[in-house]
Amino acid sequence: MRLEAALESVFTFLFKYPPRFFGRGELVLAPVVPVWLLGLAVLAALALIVLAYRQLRGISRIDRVVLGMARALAIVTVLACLLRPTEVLSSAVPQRNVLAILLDDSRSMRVADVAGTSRTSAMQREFSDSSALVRRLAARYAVRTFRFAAEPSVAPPRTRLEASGGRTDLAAALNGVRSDLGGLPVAGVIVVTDGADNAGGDLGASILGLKARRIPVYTVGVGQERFSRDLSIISVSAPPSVLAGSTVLIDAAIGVRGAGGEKTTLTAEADGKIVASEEISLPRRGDVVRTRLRVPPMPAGSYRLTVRARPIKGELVAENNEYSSVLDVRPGPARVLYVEGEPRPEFAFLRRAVAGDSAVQVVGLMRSAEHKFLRLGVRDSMELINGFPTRREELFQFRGIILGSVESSFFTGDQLRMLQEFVSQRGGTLLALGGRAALAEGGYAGTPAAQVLPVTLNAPRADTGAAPVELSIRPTSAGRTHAALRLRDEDEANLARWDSLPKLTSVNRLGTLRPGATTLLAGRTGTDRDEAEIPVLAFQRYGRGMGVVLGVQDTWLWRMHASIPIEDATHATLWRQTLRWMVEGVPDQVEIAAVPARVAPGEPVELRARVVDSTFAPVSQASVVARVTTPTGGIVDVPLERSPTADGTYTGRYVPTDRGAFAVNASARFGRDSLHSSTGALLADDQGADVEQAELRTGLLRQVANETGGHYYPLSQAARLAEDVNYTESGVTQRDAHDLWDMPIVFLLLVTLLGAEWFYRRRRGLA
Amino acid sequence: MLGLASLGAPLLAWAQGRFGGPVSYEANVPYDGRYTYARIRYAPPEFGGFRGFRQDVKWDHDYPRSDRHFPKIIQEITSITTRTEASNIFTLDDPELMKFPVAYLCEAGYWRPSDAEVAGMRNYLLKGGFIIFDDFARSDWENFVQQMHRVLPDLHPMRLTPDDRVFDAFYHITSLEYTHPYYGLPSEFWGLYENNDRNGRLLAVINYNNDISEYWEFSDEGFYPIKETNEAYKLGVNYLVYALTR
Repeated sequence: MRLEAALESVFTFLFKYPPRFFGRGELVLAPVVPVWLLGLAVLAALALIVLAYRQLRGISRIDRVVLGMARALAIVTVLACLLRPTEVLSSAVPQRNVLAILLDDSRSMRVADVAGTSRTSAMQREFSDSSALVRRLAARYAVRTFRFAAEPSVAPPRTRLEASGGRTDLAAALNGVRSDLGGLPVAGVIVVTDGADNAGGDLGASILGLKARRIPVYTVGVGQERFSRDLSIISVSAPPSVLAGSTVLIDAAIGVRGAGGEKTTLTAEADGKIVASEEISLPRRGDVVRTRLRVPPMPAGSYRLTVRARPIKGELVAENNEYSSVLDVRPGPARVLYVEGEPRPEFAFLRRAVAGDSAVQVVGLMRSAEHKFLRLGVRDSMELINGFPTRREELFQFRGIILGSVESSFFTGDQLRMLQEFVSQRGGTLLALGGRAALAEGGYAGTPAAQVLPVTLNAPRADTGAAPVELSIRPTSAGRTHAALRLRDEDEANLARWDSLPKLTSVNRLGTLRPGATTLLAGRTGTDRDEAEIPVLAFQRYGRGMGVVLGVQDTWLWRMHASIPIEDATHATLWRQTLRWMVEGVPDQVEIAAVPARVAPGEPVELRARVVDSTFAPVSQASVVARVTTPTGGIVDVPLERSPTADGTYTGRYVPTDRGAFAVNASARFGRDSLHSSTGALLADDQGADVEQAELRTGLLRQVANETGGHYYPLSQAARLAEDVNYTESGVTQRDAHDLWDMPIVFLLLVTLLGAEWFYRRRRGLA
Repeated sequence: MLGLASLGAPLLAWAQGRFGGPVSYEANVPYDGRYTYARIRYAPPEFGGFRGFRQDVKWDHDYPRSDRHFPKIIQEITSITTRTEASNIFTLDDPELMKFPVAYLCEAGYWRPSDAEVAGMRNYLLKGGFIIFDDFARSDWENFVQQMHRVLPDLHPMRLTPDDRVFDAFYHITSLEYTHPYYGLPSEFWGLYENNDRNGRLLAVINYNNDISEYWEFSDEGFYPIKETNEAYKLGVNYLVYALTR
């Protein structure tokens, strides 16, 4: 950085103007005498030199050439100056243009890493109304100052910045200023920020908008690019909603600066109560440590979930050590339809495993004989009375479907398509179990239902009566950390438990994994570690939903086997977790979300609802109202408008004023239907997510400046702005010509050439 | 008295020859996922009489014909994938038994399990197995209750009625008015429910004063009336479908 600045100073001294000056303008020649005359003069001078040096006696040929060249170059340089090279540059006409200054007022600006003072103080020192820089700018421009966090707002003179915005949205700020100053001639925009842009707005689009109007953005970076000692929660991945009774897995990535080898404790709090905690050793190498917290099941309700890393000694920014979100624990029950073609233990044991679970209900449709069904767990005497549903609205009310050992010819062509659409359109999960009449052996190859599955179905096993294949089953690396397959808290104990489970059997020929599918459990027939693994449990996303294959016929052996004690809950745990995994992300007919889901009080959010009918086709003619329940129990109804761009989507704007967790519900009416969504979450607090990445993000700021034709400055060099902003093509400009013949470099070149000639003569004894 | 016995002996020999057991048992077949008939073997009583010219071991009554006939009916009537050509015999402490979650045990009046067998049965039933007790009558009940108390001391047999779910698992059985095939006693149906809760899972069904496998055994000969044989099969089908679905 320092070297760059020094080089720039040297350049400016030699060339009279800074490097970017030459980039912006246009180089033209304005000869003082006609060019032909100059050409003649050059030729005449060269001829004279040749003649004069040829007549010299007593020196070698090389000496003549060297001396002649030096003299010729000196004369050509002088004559070139007579061409009068000129840089023509647009610059703002004084007092005819607006210059916008955007000052970052988000929380991350409180960080005191600019020579011991906060970023806000440092920024205000440089950009206060009375500062030298602003006075110089004000002399040429109508300066408009804005403060921004989520959105820009005009900052009246002598505004004190609070640094209280919960999030920075650079894109929204630039868009806002552009439209605020829509009709005015804008010479440029100066953005003073740390670049902690976390709102995820479309920055590319805002840059394009500015480029279209040729408005350069000058970015001024405040703060340190790299803290010396800091822990920061970089990312937290927690589900927005889970079913009651589910263990919540929170994946956190913690950024580590200068604390390798030390320890910290990561805790998760639900409404202020610690629900999970883990001690972490910070790595000596690498900047990031990833870890996982397991939050035990919580009763149904909405919780404020906070993940916190205990600050290390001497940490500059402790605000970025925590992260909050809202977790909605849904009461359920989520209904899963299990279609089984033959009474077999897998069916009975699976239903027993989840029988006591209030959040997941397995509805059994069992074919006990040809055209004879046993219905278990149905809502009323009419549900599934005719066997497998023939109408989409009947099938799509389930969130998951388990296909047991039931051959494809059991279904009509349309029912097979419904199975596919259940996943692709409804967003449900289809789990195909192994069995003698399942998968390829059940004739599914080539059916629409097979498209959904994560493995390809090839030709079935030739001899269906042959003995099944015994498989030792182990989680893959993806499976080891998967929520559905967790049997023990600690990784090693988990794997050891898996290794101790008895073998299962498969009667199916499992094909190869589709691209994009993930294997969670792999099976081996022998003890040979090099043997190819067979995907036993695999899944893939398909459309809006998920297709899963569990290619064994007897997970019930993990309950019954002689090696499993009575009190062991492995089988029940696995099925409970697997069913939750299947249904947790499955959408309702009306879904609502606040975007973003976390803001500071006073900042707007968009409420976005998606409405589909009972066949899960988007509904465009619904009347949709979002109901926001504030932390104090107040109710605010926000009517939502149909989005012109996305079918079935409705949006509205809401500004939370209180602090705390808000519950958002939507109700939609269309035709004779009136539907309610489950609860979406919104969190308003001062602890914005803004401080997560509290370090100065130079890269982002440089990008914005470069793409719009502006320039990036560290705060310490902001004074140079006063000069640089003048050269702009935006706003009311004038074109000025700047002579280049008098650049010091030209004089230096002449002196060097003549000096070199003299020095050469002296060395050769000719002077 | 002695004369009566000497007169009765050839008659008994005839009867046992008619209803007699086999001299050998076929080897077990390995588990393959299909429903396979599983019979429980236990230590024969010290004195249990004779069947034909050999000791009556009690646990093998009606073997192998009932063990073959029943699966054939299951295969024919239900969609259960069934092994019809073989059946298995296990002791209660045999780890392999655990792979066959429905089992049949007869002559519970003579059943005196070892401690290992008691533990094996407790494991089997509580983890999800289902046992059909059959072919015992009269005072056999006392021994049965006594031994079951060793297996599951907290559970007591509950008298079943046509309203119990097991009688609606496949056939809708509306009456439990059965009689013992050769004693002519009115049959009683009892069950062991998980946690003694009728809404819970039935762990075992007890055909007291009855012998349904007797009907199964002779179903290909017309020895018993078709109607009664049918009724005996209906019970067996319901037991099996119940065990594999609930």
